[in-house]
Amino acid sequence: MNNTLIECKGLSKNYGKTRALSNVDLTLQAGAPIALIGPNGAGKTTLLSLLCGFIRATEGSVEVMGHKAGSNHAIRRLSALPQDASLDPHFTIAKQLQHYAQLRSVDNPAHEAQRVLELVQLTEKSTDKPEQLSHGMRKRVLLAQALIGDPDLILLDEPTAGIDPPNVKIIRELISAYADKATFIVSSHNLDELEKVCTTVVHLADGELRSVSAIDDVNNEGVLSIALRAEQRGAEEKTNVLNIETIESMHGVKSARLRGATDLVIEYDSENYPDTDIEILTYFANNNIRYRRISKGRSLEEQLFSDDEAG
Amino acid sequence: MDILKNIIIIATLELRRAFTTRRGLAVIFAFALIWALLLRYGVFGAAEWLRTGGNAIGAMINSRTVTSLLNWEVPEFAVFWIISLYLFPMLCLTLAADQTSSDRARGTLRLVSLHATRGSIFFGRYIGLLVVQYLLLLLVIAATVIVVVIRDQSMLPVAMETAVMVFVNLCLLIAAYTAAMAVISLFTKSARQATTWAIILWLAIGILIFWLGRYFPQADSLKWILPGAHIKHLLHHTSWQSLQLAIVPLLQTAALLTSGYIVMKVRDL
Repeated sequence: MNNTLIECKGLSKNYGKTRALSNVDLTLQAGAPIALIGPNGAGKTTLLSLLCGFIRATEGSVEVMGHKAGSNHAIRRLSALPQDASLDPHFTIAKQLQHYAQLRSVDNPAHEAQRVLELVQLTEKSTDKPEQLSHGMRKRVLLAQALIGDPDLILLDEPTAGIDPPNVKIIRELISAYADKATFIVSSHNLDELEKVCTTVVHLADGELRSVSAIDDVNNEGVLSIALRAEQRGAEEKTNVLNIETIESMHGVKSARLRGATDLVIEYDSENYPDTDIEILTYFANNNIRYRRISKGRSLEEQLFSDDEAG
Repeated sequence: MDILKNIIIIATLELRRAFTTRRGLAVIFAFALIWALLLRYGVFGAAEWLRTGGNAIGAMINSRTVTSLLNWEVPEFAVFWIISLYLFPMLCLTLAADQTSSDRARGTLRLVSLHATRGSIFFGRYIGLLVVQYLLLLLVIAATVIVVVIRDQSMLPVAMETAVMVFVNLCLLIAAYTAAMAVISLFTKSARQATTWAIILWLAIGILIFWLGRYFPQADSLKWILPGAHIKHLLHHTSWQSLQLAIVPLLQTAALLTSGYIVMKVRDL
């Protein structure tokens, strides 16, 4: 069975003389959430806008589930949270969601509007107009709009930009909970958030496709990141409890370095010395070194930076 | 099928916007107020003048338009005809200005396009605003019939027939103007900007055609591309013969809607 969600061939987009997207060949399959990353001006929003059919390609083609982007068939199966879109200020939220549900031929539009509002935990705001809501709530309503009619593909362009942590948490949890019903493509600068929900990363830079890779790539093994407690750093200076040289001298450890004030990053040979992480943790326990968080593998940010450095 | 259904859904929302939102109701209130004053002091007063002393003055002025006005069986509709032939197009420039412009600027158009095709949006908005204007037109025509009946109940049958003729002609005229506003709305960012551009374009194109006509007499026929070009000819008609000119607004509407639809299809949102 063909599970191809998106197929871009030689896709380019120019805005006047500026080339926003250049010759992108990309095929994505349905499944777990996909992260779309890259710096400002990388072409993320342009790519998502092309997939939604908001804009037309200058060159190349883009298909969504076998249909031309923007066609009637494509919009039946796709939905999105566009970056700078706002709801109509003259109607209540429920009325607008109901209107969208009607357009999607959902059986009971009023019920559907309530269902999606419930998903984003905004049922009590259904009779409010958009300007009565906070920025974060408006984003959640836009996410609710994207869930109407259970589309197969949901594109989220910067869904957490400029919103507070509680709203970010609600959006992130909803994406995780809904991931078995639809494939999400999420564009964001918040790499930590993307890492929590996505498994595949599409990396764009300067309008070109740099890579498509899995977050849990095998190359990602052999890295331990430890966020030390702030007071630990003080303790290190006074008593020298945390001795980086000691860690570096352990079997299999390639390097140990402090990144910033409290982040200790240790790289080791996980293939030949798979128990190195246990040894490091034992060292921490024996010396009563306290930490806030520990994570295995390179963060998405580190992967990207090292990729950029390598490139 | 879905497209047709969505056109109706989008058109219905425009009706709701006009008749249930605070902003829409304010516009309708202003419209009703203007027409109440026009009916009381314009239509009623002028009709009285046409009935009593119009013939003598008409003979003195010897104007074709004044003579045409005197030929109306129902003088109230003679005055209504003149006022509405100029006033409804002007109202259309504001009432139908915001078909897609502010939604595009706000990004709402992108949201709607995720749930309906661009064609449904374009035609749905157009039809919705057309129906709103037709309902308002019906309202003032009904009020004019009431004014006639208050004066003379026996005039009801002829007033009704005249009302239908006036309604059909004005509907055609409004359709062309609304189609023009649908196209202008595609290139502007707000209702105000759309109205401003409409006025500028009408004046500029009118002057250009007039200027061209002075040097190339054939260019004078270009005037038919502008909605409202047949208004001065309509002024001389008092019966269903006016529909001889129906082809003009019909062709203008078809041409404008076709070009608007093409622009809507290919333009970035």
